[in-house]
Amino acid sequence: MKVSQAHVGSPDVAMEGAAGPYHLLVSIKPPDVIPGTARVTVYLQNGKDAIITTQPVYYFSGREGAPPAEVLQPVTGSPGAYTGIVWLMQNGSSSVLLHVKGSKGEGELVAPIVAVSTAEKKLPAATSVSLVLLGILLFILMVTLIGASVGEGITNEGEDLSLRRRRSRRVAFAMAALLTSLVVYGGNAWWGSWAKKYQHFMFRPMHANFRIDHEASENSLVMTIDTSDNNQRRASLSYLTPDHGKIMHLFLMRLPGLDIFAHLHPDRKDTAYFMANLPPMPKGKYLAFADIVYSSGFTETIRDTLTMEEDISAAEEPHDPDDAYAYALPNNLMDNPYRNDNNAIVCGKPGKGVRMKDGSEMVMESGSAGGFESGMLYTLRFAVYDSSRQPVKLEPYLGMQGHAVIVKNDGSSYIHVHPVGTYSVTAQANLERRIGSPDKEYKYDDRVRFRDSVDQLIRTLKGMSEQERTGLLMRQMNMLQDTMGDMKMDNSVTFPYTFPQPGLYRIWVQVKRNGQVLTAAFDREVK
Amino acid sequence: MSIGLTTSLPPSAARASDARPVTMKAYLPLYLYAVSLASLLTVTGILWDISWHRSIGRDKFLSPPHILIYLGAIFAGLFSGIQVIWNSIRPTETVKASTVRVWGIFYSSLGALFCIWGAIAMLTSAPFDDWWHSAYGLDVTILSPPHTLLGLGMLFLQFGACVGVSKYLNTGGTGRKGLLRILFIVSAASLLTMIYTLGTEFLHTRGMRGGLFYIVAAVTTLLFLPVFGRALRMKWGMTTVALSYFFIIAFSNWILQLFPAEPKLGPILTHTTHFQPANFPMLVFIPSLLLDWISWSWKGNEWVKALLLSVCFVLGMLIVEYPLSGWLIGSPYARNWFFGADSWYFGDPPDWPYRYKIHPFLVSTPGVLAVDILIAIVIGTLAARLSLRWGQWLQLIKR
Repeated sequence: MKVSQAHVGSPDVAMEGAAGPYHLLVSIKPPDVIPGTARVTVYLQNGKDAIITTQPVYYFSGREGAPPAEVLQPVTGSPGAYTGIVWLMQNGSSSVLLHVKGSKGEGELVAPIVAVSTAEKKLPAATSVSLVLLGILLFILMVTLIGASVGEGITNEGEDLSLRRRRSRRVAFAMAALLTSLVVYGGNAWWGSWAKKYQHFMFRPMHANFRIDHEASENSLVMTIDTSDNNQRRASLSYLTPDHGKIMHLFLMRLPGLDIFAHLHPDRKDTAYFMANLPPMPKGKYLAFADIVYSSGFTETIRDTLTMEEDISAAEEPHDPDDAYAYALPNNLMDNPYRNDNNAIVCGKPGKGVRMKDGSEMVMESGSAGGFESGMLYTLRFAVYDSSRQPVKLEPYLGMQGHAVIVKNDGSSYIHVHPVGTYSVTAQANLERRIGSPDKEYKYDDRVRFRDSVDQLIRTLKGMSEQERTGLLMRQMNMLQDTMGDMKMDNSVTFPYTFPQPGLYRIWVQVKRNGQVLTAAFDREVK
Repeated sequence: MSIGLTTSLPPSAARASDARPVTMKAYLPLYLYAVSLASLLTVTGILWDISWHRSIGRDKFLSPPHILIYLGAIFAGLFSGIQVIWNSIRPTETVKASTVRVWGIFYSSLGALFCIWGAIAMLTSAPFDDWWHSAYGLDVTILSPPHTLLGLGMLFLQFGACVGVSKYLNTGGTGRKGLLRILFIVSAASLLTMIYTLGTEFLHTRGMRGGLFYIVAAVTTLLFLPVFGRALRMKWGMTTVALSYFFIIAFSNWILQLFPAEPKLGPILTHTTHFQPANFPMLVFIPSLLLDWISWSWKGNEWVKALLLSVCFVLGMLIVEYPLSGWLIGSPYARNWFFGADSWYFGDPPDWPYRYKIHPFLVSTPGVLAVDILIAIVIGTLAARLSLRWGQWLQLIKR
């Protein structure tokens, strides 16, 4: 089975949120073939004896066009857990609308999902063998029965086959074999064209070209999203919408050790053309993951690599104050080549925290006993202490308590996760607005006007003071009411996540303290 | 394994086993009842399944209509298979004389062989279809390779039932002819219904003002009805089969809409509450009256006969269906349980401007229609000629 993912290698949605008075932990396994079914599991954190229902709501057709809600069944032996399936029939931006009713009253929560076909499946060997055997049987039986139809079948009972009938039976055998072969050939070609059509509509992640624009400055990175094979994709790029106030979140990690990390926010210069100033980065080959969100709530990660031929020294300041970078050293390191650079950190391992650039230490407080298992929903918890082991008070970074990037060591799985989950809060807010609207079919705004209005919004955000901007972002993303209302900013940050496969993962965690973005890195093995 | 229906053995078989008395007990095998019933079960299952998709939208591998279809396959396959194995374990001289020898081991009637092929094809389609959905999506398409294999299997099963009964119609003398004809008509009408269902895309009510409808109707009908007419050797054989098709569809429609069904697949643009019936069946039995009349009154050249059949059928359909389609779609008097013209797919908007009129796109201009009618008559003639020959073959079935 060949798989390419929208969320690179990590398609599951993990989510922590509030449905009215209820606190929920939600895990959604979207199908890899559309139409297909998503498995939804909800862990009710407070209240009991609730009735939880789900409904798939597409951005395109809204709540009015959604099928009736269906009740999730309690999971036996796991109190507070409910599970069920949701049918996703079309490609596009969709959501699972959860409705909870119980002792505390009622409430709703929207979980965005990207419904795309990503898997190309091969026939399993056993099915393949049995189908071939049955096919051969059908072929032989067909030839036999056509032969019998012109031979014995029309011969009087008890009589032997005449010579003429014998001859016509032989002709019939040959004709039947020929015609049946043609039918099989035609059927196979039809199957092939079907597979081709499926491939055509399969989700293909976009790629990008990167180069350093020496004419602008030594550290000016130019990114061009490759839309050469699909004009529709290019048109849809006009509908990008800012997530956490940024049109794009670009993460760079150097191969092979994922030792250099940068979280950048390029400016949009044109529909598919972006620019950012790089921080000081040593030469090498980098993995690049660029997260974008469309107005429909559809989220996508553009994945590619870029090679820096020589070391980049930051000639110009990053143009975005929220850009951050770090050098992570393996935790068994004897000699630190970045001894004099406070951007260098030593990776945390079980039982050992990470000393960050302002001297404070981040500790991973979950998962130490027994380690992690793939396919299980975890709440990863990180806490920050100052040099005297006292808890520190964190500040919101991009409107959230923190951000994390979780990458498998070979780069095959990547996710940008927030305390509320693996989804985009902007996508959720857009879907919530759509669900609240009575329109049956969505009509898109004018492309150019929409893009200009987004550019204007981003310029306004940039012109704001940090406090103003954070306040606005938190309001826009319903942070105060939904998730952060009952969560005070303290010294800790949590991320719900399901590791997709066993392997070695690096978890980059970013928080803000005293106006400075702090980055820590942890290595964890997942069984 | 058999029921006590006696027919007299034909003289040829009697000659082959001289030691036995000429009139002996021969049985109409149980498998014939089973495959006739299975023909009806499978086609009813298909009609139910299509309505299920139009009313509920989504299903599982073991949905009730699917169970009905596969039960039909198992039922037919099992009865035919047991019949063959029974015949082959210790074949008597009578069995050897009255069956077809397969691969040197098995003794089977020709009809059972068709039914077995159909049942195996239908059952093969099940795992194929299941995998297909996992690879290309839980789709609602009628025509996909696994569905086509299923459809082919059903057609072979239904045709096998016709062949099986034909043997007795051809060799059985006069006894129990009525019962044999009923079994044949059930299978043949199921087969015809199945053919029309596969051609639904072209044979729907809204298409009756376009030329393509008459071309497809001529090919599908004239390829099969004359076969059945010949095999049945009844005065009104084709009319009876066509009327039976009418009632299979009509009864399915009338019964289905009694049961509640709610769409469960978004986007839902029209909220429906009950199973939605299919289109009102085509009135094929009206031109069939002419076809039967020609069949028994024309004694001349077979090609001319085929031409007459085609002309009468195509013009008959044109006269009946062209005005009827407009009435069915436009008239409020058609929006009731009998005609079922208010049936609507939930995924279509209720306020579609052409809900109660035929889209001009679907209406052929008089010139185009005239040309298409001519094409329908020409193709229909070829189909009818082939069908008449095929019918002769069916009259020859002896084993």
